[in-house]
Formats: sequence, C-alpha cells, structure tokens
Amino acid sequence: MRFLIILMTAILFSHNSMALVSLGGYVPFGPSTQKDVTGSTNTFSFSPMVSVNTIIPTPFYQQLFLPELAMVFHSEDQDGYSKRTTLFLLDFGHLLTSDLIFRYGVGTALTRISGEGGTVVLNNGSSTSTYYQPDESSTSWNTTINLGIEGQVIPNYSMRFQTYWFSVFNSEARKASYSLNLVYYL
Amino acid sequence: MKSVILVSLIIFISIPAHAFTLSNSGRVNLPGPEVAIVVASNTCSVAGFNSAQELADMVQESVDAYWNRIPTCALELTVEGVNSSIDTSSDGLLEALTKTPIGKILVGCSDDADLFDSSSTLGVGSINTASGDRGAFLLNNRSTVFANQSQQEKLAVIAHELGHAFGLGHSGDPTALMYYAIGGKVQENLSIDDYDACSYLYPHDSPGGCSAVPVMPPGPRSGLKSFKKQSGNKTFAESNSSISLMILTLMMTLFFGCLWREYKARNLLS
Repeated sequence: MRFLIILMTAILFSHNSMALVSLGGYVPFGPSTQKDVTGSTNTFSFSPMVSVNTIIPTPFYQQLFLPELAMVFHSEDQDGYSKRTTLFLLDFGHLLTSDLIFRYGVGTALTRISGEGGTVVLNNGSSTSTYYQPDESSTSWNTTINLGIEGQVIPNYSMRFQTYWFSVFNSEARKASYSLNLVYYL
Repeated sequence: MKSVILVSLIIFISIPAHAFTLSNSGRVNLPGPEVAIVVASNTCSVAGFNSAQELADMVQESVDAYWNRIPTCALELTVEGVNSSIDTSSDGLLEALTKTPIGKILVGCSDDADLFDSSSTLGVGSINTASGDRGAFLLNNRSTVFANQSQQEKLAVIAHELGHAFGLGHSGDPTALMYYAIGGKVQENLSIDDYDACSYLYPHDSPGGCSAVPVMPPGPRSGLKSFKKQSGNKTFAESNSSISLMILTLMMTLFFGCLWREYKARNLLS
C-alpha cells in the first residue's frame, strides 16, 4: 500500500518533474572481490552504466522523489558468458544546499547471467578435462538500500556518487556496490 | 562535454576476464540453496587434522570466508557436524558420493592411491552428475601436501573443492578461486567470476525485492536550484508528453509486476 501512496503522490506532483540521463561507472562489490593473483581488489574497476531518472518535488520540506532505471553493461569474455545488471531505484533526496542532494532509498537489482553453451578444455590437476559453459540465462533479484550524494558542477550537469547495499540483514553477505555518474538534465 | 564523458568512461572502465564453467556434465546443481555439509568420522592425520571435528571447524570457516558471502547467490552452506557412521579413509570419489546423504555434501579425506596418484593433488570434489542430488569432496590423506599449506591456502582449497561439490567446474581466470591451481597466488577473496558462477547456479530471489519506479514527464531545463523554488507548488497538471506516458506505463507495469511477485512469494512462504 505504501508504494501506491508514493506512486499517487508522485503523479499528483508530476508537473514539476524533470527528466535526467546519466553516464558513468558501476563497481559491483569492489573491495570484496579480487582482481588479480596478488590479492588486490576491484575497488576502481568500473563497468559502464547508463540511467534515466526524474526529479519530482514532494510537498515535504526539501525532499525530492528520484525514481531511476539504470543499466550496467559488464564486459564479456570471448568464449565465456554475458552479464547485465539492471537497477530499479526508488530513491528520495534531501536538498542539503541548492546544489547538493543527499540521496537515500531502496531499489531492486537484477543480475542476469547468460551464455551460449559449448565446452572448453581446462587444466585439471596434472591433466585436462572438458567442462561445460553456461547455456541458459539466470537472474538474481536483490533488494538494495541506496545512499549517495549528488552535486551540481555546472548548469545542467551534476556528479553523483551512490552506494547500493545488498543483503543488509545478512552480516556475512552484506556488500556494497557503488557508482560514479555524470548526470545531464534534459 | 561529450569528450569529458568519453574520457571519464575510458579512465574508469577496466575489462576483467570472465570464464567460469560448470561440471563436466553441464548444469547440475543441488536441490536447494540451503545445503548441509556432513563430515566423515575418520581422522585425517596425514592431512594435518587431529580429529574429524577439527576438519568440520575448518570447513565452516571456509564457507563463511568464501561462498556464504555472495549477495547475488542464494547458496547457504552450513556444516551439520561429524557423521559417525561415515568413513571415507580409503574411498574413491564415487564411493564417497554413494555414502553421501541426499541433498547434502560430504567432506572427508582418503588415502586412495588411484585418486591421489599425484602428490601435488590437494583434494578432489564433484557433484553427483547423474542427478545432482548430492556432492562430495575428499582431501589428500596419502601425503602431507595439504598439511604443508598455509591456513589461508587450506581454506581456499576446501572452498575450491566445495565449488566442485555444488556443481562448478574449473575457471580459466587465474584470479578465480575455481582456477585449477592455487600455487603462486593469494586468494583472500572470491573474484567476480566466482560470484557470477555461484549466482548462475543458485540465483538469489528476494521475496519482497521489488520497488516501484514511476517516471514523470520532463520539466524545466534547469539545474537543482529550481527545485528549491518549486517544491512548494502543489497544483496538479496533466502530462503532455507521449514519451513520458509510455515510460510511465512501462514503469507501472514493472511496479505491479513486482507487487505480484512479492504477493506470490509471501503466499509461498506462509
């Protein structure tokens, strides 16, 4: 029901809304994942990210409604699989100053992994074995808690840093992804 | 500004290699994401364990350090304890699999000469590729090769063999835990490749994992400053943008789709 109330509120105040597009990079679980054999982590391994969203003023003091749809395009190995992350964000923003928004909210992250099948021969102990590659698609659904900050740099452009907290109620699997985007106000 | 965007992307994008594989029988996975691990009762003294319980404790430490930490993977491994009726001291992998309770993973050690004909083999693991109803792995108890590893390497070896036991094959990415060899590398974390492998076999499904994303028509061409002035305006006005209406329709479809998923998930859980 609370989603319906939010949706109706958003429609009622839609006349002040503004459309935005953004380009940037997304790091999935950066410091928690390893990027090379020395054990260093993927802290700055950004994947391309595009998003469309709006800013909708609300009747509440200095609060904005910031729904967003974002797509992350992960790189693909030549004989491996493809991966795509889609983020549906239901964020709110608090205007800290006229140029700075503190963003907070919830979202859904869909991580889709798919492959075209086939086999590959890989080392196995002192010999080799044939292994199968993914031949269908598989999608993970995760609820995220989002926190971020967005600041206007020049007219019609702003920079946004946002974190997406996964599995917040599971102390072992709790991990953060984050993104850095350049936002353009249409 | 276009060049700024392009340069920003080039600076921030890196291209990691992805290359996980499945078992040598294709996609086979255990029945449920919550999987219990049982430990055979024989002592693995050559492998460096004073008791079966010591091995059980290390397996639990391993799953907590690796596979149970992936948000997008539903797999949840828990060590049930030592099963006093199971002994794998001279078993091959197929024998161990036949002793494994259905839906579980059996961990043990063996001094079987055929299985560990190479002194460099630390362990061997597999899922039951015929039905996927159970998995097992055995550590090398024929030589001290496992005992001679560091604590971090032992945890990584156990996690690697567990990966085989729940359905993964080797990875071509040397960074991955599922790479065929552990020598000469540090494996303190999983790689993105390991995350994707686990998520592919056991995708996470949030029961209430949906949120609405209504998109409204575009407004004035100005920056954030305008909103401070506009936030007090409460007059209703209709949209005159067909594109906005299309996006709004799409978002509302997604929204109600999500609500339906949540409703179904809650009904299934109750």
